[in-house]
Amino acid sequence: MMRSKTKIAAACGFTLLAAALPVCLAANPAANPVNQGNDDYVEYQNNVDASLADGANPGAFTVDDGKALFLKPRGPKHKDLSTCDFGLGPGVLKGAYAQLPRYFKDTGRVQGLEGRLMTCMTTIQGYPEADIKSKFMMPEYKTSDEGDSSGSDLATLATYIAAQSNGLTFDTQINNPQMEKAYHLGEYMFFHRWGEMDLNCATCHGYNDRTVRGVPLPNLLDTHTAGMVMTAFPAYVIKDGTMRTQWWRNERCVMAMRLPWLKIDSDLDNALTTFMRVQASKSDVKINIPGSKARA
Amino acid sequence: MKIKSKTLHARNTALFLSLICGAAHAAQPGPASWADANKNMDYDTFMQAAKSSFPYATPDEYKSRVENDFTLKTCNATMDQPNAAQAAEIIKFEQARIQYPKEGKLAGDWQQGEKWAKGTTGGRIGFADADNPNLPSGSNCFACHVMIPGFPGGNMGPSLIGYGKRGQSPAILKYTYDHVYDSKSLVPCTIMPRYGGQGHLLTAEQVADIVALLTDPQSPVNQPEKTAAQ
Ligand code: HEC
Ligand code: HEC
Repeated sequence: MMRSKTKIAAACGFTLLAAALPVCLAANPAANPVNQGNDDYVEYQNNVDASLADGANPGAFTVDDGKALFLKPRGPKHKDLSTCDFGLGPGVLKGAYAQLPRYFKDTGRVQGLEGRLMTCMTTIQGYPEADIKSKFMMPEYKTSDEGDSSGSDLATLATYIAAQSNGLTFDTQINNPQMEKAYHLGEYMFFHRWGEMDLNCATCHGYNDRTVRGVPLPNLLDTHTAGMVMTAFPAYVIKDGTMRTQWWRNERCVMAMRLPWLKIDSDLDNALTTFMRVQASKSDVKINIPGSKARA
Repeated sequence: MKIKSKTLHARNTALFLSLICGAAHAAQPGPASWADANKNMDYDTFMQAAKSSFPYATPDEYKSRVENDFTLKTCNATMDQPNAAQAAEIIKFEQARIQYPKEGKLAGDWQQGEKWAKGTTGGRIGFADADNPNLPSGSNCFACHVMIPGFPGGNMGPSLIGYGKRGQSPAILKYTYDHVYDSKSLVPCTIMPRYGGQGHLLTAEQVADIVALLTDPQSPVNQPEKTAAQ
């Protein structure tokens, strides 16, 4: 299928006459992607998982580290985070991640896991927001090149909370106007072309059998593939030797599109995550934190 | 295979469930599509969310990266299917953007061109992994194209291996230059990025170097597989 499309496209370019335009436009990968499996990506990702020695994911240690950090009194108020509300009530962790993002009345916003942790660090532990940004949550993550494979507090805490939903499927609900808006913002962004590269998310994640430099890309409109992808974050990134969160993944691709830096817990960050979690919620793939990813 | 039947099963189950309890499921969105996206959200509301989501961008960056220009606005509104009049307008708009190298030579140095084409840096901004704006940018053509025998490439664009077979006539050089500098001057709404000029990755001279990479008989693009592989 790809091959014949390619041929027409090549032929189009070569003719370059206005007369050839309708053919060119028809050959352009267009409006109606289909959901029907993304086997090459699935195989690729299974190999990544299998490449970890004895199936042992080093990110498993982060779950314990995250628990210790979660229960440690910190910040100006010297409090732990055990009363943080992730949507199921203060301190309820089991299954909370599976339903995020959701609308929170106290902040008046749709938030995901990272955003919620930041909220609790401000309200419960008393950290000023500037502190959270610069010291604890690191909206600026570091790369392995910078010699930082310890990850961020944010990723460590997020890994622990997320792992408390292991074994469940995602169940992100569009059940109020705020969630509806977040979903539609996310869906719009998925298809919206912008940035220095004129791309949208769908260019790389809206079709089966696409590759970048030979590496298979996940079709996130295929619900099973979306399930596989979303249930793996926070993930242990082999290239970085550390845990990375869903925001981090969103920001990586936004950066590849040469858009500006995507603020963590911003409306578009949460919208993208909402959109992709809803796709994942339609699959029966179970949350399995930490996942593993080959590269940044 | 296992996956496929699972998906099928899930689909059937969903269908069955939606038949017996349609109302309860009505709130969950159906399959995502570009048409629905455009129907359920408007550009201005979206741009408000963008404003607060990209707070660290300078006004210049915001204007050139976040706001849609005429071409992308049309492509987004028509889901990459502009009608004939819109397509003609895009072509006119984009052709007017193209600048040629000062000396007028459309094919430069293929060895430099290979460097630019393989390079992946340039244009990333932010707090980590940003690119040094003082270094020349690459264009990562290999993300989407196979170009050099034996060197991995992507499949979103057509293979460019052996491109030089088309020759080096002025018409071919101009077509190639224009396509790399501004793909949308030839194919409105193509997914291929516009590479040339202000606010984009490559200078006119770099584009000419890439034209040489594609068209020069000496370039690795135009060597038989065996020679290139060793
Ligand atoms: C130019 C191509 C390109 C564009 C555009 C793009 N991505 Fe990606 N995306 C990639 C690549 C390459 C990977 C990494 C695959 C890997 O793990 O090696 C990736 C990975 C991902 C993953 C994780 C996949 C996994 O294996 O777990 C998610 C989620 C994702 N992208 C979402 C997005 C979103 C949302 C957007 C739009 C804002 C987007 N991408 C735009 C190329 C792209
Ligand atoms: C995001 C994907 C993408 C990237 C990156 C990309 N291209 Fe393309 N390219 C395409 C697609 C899709 C087509 C076919 C439609 C068209 O003609 O625009 C194409 C077509 C072409 C053509 C015309 C082919 C013909 O047979 O006439 C040339 C030449 C070309 N690309 C060169 C390049 C070069 C050189 C680069 C890097 C500087 C590059 N491309 C980067 C996607 C891409």
